[in-house]
Amino acid sequence: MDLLGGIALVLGSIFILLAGVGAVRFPDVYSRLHTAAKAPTLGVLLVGVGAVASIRTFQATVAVALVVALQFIAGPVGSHMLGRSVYRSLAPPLDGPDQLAERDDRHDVDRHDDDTDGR
Amino acid sequence: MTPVRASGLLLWITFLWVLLWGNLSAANALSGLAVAVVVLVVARLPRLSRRGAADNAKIAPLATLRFGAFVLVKLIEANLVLAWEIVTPRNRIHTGVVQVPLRTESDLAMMVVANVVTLTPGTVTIEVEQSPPVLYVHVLHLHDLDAVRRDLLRIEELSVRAFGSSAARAQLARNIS
Amino acid sequence: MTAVAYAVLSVAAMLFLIRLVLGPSVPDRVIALDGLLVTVMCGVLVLAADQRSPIGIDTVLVVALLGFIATGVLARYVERRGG
Repeated sequence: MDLLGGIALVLGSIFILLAGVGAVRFPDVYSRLHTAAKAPTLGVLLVGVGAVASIRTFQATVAVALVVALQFIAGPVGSHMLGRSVYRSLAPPLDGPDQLAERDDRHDVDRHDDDTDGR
Repeated sequence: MTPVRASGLLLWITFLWVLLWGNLSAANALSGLAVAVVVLVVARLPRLSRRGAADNAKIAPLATLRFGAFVLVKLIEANLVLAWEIVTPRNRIHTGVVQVPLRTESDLAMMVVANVVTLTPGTVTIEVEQSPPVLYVHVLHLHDLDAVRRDLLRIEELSVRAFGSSAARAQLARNIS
Repeated sequence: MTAVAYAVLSVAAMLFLIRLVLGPSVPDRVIALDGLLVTVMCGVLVLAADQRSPIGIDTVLVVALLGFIATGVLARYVERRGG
């Protein structure tokens, strides 16, 4: 059990390392955002599993489960908020079709809208 | 907030409090209950959905397991694709934003799909519109708009089958056939 | 085993630090900060596994919550003020 936990810990750390490498290697904000959304989630899951396998108490299991659940839910939400703010403020150019821009043009939305409350 | 939901939340917060303190004693349980009451009174917790009881999740256990396995597999696939991207030259990136109209009106389903989309290979949710329910998704390798839409609508189908409300399931059945 | 995990996590932390210093825009730095927080969280989890004791897991929970709120607040800031 300890050995399996150790393997899970190392595997999870490798995925966190993947997130770090992605953060440094990728050329533009959007791809780094993609990395930050997906890699830490799996990394935290594996490290959590490893930690639970090594500490086998009920209290630790529930606490770790909460941390993992938080990462699964709040991680993508945070990435979504960042993605939205990058799209609205910096607006780096896209290669392909941009259907959100089409919808914005239809609704006449000012993409550098300062007032984001009440939406 | 309904009494059922309130007492459920009270129990959950008390359980968390006792758990974080480590040992189950009368003092811990009572202080936990007090904290739970204070939290419920002070924090105006939002309703789960705009439509109230009509959106009550009906959980199908087997479908939920299948959905959970699907999410896990997609997450692992996304990470492997990322690792591959890092190692090989990056000239295959062709970004774009895709509009994905959803077929069901459930808030819970929309939230879950938007979350899971961010975890699938190459896609991140950027904007969410509630009525009509539409998701705007940023894609890293955008070569076929319809293929992306099909993949993402599959996520919606699996999640509604797992814990959609009866209204959502009916909408799904109508739109699939 | 945990020594390997520590080593890997340290490299990850250094990489996020590089992005934190480099990242030309604020969202880049937010991504780097979030990554650093996750690395630290995993570090504490590895420590708990090493010591076979649930020490520090409550800290991890608090850090996760605060990190999420920080990311959200910073995203709103970027939306208002530009990158």
